[in-house]
Amino acid sequence: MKVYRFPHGGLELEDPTVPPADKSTIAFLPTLALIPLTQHPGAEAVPLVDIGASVQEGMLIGRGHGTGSANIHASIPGKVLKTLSWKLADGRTTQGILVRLEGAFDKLGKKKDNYHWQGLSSFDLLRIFSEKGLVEMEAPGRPLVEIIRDATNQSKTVSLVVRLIFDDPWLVADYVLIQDRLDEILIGASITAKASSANHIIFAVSDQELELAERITQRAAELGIQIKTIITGSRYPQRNSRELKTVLQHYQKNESLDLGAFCICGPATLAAVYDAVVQNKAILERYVAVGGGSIKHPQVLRVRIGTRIGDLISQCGGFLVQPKKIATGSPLKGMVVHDLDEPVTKTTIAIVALTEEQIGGETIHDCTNCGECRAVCPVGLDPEYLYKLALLERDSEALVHKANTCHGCGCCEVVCPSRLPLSSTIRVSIKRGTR
Amino acid sequence: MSVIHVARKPLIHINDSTSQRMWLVSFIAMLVIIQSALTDHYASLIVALVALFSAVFMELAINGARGTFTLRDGSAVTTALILALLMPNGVNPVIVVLGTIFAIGIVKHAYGGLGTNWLNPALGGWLFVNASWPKHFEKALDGSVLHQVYQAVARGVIDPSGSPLAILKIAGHKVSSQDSLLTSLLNHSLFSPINAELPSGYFDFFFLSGPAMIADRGIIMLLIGTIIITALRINKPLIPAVYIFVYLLLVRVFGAIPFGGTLGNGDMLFGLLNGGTLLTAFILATDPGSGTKSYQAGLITAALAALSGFLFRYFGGTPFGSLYGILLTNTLIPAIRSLEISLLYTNRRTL
Repeated sequence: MKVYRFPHGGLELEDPTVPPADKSTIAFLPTLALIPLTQHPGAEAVPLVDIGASVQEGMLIGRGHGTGSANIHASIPGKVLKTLSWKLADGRTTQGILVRLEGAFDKLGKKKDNYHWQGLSSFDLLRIFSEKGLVEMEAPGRPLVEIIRDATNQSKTVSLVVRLIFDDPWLVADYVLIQDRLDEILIGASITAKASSANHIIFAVSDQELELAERITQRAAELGIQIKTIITGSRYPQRNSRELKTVLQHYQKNESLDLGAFCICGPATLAAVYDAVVQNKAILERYVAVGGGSIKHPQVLRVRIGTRIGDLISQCGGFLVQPKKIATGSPLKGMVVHDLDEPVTKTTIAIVALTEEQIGGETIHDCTNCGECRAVCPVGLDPEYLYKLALLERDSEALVHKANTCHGCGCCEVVCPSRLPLSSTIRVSIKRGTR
Repeated sequence: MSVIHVARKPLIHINDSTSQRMWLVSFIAMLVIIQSALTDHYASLIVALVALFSAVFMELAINGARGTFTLRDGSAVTTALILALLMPNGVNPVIVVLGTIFAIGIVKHAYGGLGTNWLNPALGGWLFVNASWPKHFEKALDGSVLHQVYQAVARGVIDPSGSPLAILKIAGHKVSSQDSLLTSLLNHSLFSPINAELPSGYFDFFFLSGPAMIADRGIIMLLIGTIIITALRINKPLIPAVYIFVYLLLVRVFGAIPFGGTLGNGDMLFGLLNGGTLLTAFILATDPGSGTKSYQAGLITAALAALSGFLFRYFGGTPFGSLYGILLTNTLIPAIRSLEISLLYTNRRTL
């Protein structure tokens, strides 16, 4: 079996502090849910409920508007206590609606809806995606409709690519989700393929999960869903769009196929598609991996959107040792959490409480020209040189040296013995240079 | 230079920090110094301490002038201890002070500090004092094994087999009783069954007690240090491997000629165990600060350093030719780096 890999750089990552990948646990329902109106890269959703109003489970409480914005729904039934405002890790300010749990659930514990989606047109499906606020269930949380539109605008031939590439151990929540909901993910892929008029459904599975690849192929055949499976390497950042597209292009060439434009989705997004279309359910919960060296009992939890991060940590037994930093998302691409009252959003794949040892020290030293950043850069850039140009504000020169091809995977920064913020600074330089 | 405030995205680091690496190299250098100090009434230790205090003083003075504090990164201490390894054990401490001040004050900080210098600071300091006060060096190394060989060759002493050990014997150098005992043991048990014989004199290189460069006097600890450095991936292991391979190949093929021998009879052990060869291969050739950007260019540069080091030592008549070899390649580094940026990174073929 051919394994498709990107040619240069990257990292083999391991972390013994990730939760076990064998089961998920349902998190306690939050008595108070803080539902942010910004869970996507675009403008904040417009609030549709007033303070004191009663909301039902799955009710639309914020309407997305403009590019990159998506609808927001209440994850629990209850009463709106107040709206709060806080600063997100990326610097934007958002409002959130604080809902106190009250009344009966409309979805939880009730018989599940089972709508026949086969008769729906692509247009109808896209409308449902938009209404239910479907986004790619990882940062930055782009609306699914826009991802599909981008692909269909690029080419008449579209391939839906489901990335099941576990190049980062902190994708464990996705892994558990696949174990729990494979059928729903396969049907979700079929629905998304119809919505995007995709000619192919390709499951890209990393080479360490060959058994999973076999299971997917077998189950898809049983469900009558035509898929192709491609085995990729598992070196980080194989899952990144650029590296994934690189291997897909190799695959296309080897198999003499015309794959056209790629519409790339993760398993959590496809499960959300299934819930939205078949069960008439917005995104109310998601799988979140809670772990890190500071957490007593790391677990993969099924969490209602808006649940406090602090509550999830309590459910995992609290802290074993005082964490140095807590982040949402993988330690490689996540954002630091400054307050344990911050809520879980649609894009929270993990909550990581890092010990000082895991962080590996943050004292910045002078660059010694060791070249480790160059050795791991998957794009083949010279991060050290671009970093030094950025500090000298020679941003246009950095662009001449292909700084804009940096996609911010962070490999250079992870290996830098001088702890220099290489990729973060290069990104700033690109922004300044292209202004 | 501007200050950019960024929200760091990768929150973890998986490699040892720069300061950990520096302190590890310093620790290994200290081991070598201690081995040397055990046989010279602590003269090597005095050289090292003088270098250390001078380096710390100089670093703090420059830090004070610049309003920074870089002592914690360990680079000043590492530079001082590597410079001490390059010094003869009996050198005048004033020479050590001057060498260290030049290494830290000029070579390291004139270009902006750690990582910005194209020349290894310790090597720059060594070159400065060696070129400025050659007689002090000569005096400190007078009677050393290497000097005895080179002086004998200069007097016209040759050996038909091209063995520097044979020349040493002709020059009147006495092999220690421990060496004779260990050599005869090995010859008896290991070499005689295969009709080979190890000449006496090699074991003395592991326990040099006469005047010599400190790195040569602590060769056992240096060998242990190279294993630690390689095992902990502090350096790029292929660079010393290429250096040693090219160097020993040249020694084997051409190394007997200067001593009166013929092609293919060079003494590789002699070439390896003195003249700072191991220090050059594992510490100086792998110094990232004065190295190339890419591993590939690093290997080519290591081969070039080995070639020039061999030529300087065997045909240029300087016992520490390997150090001049590194000096030569260091001068090429700015040009090599600029070529690498253009060929390997900016204009790299992408998919």
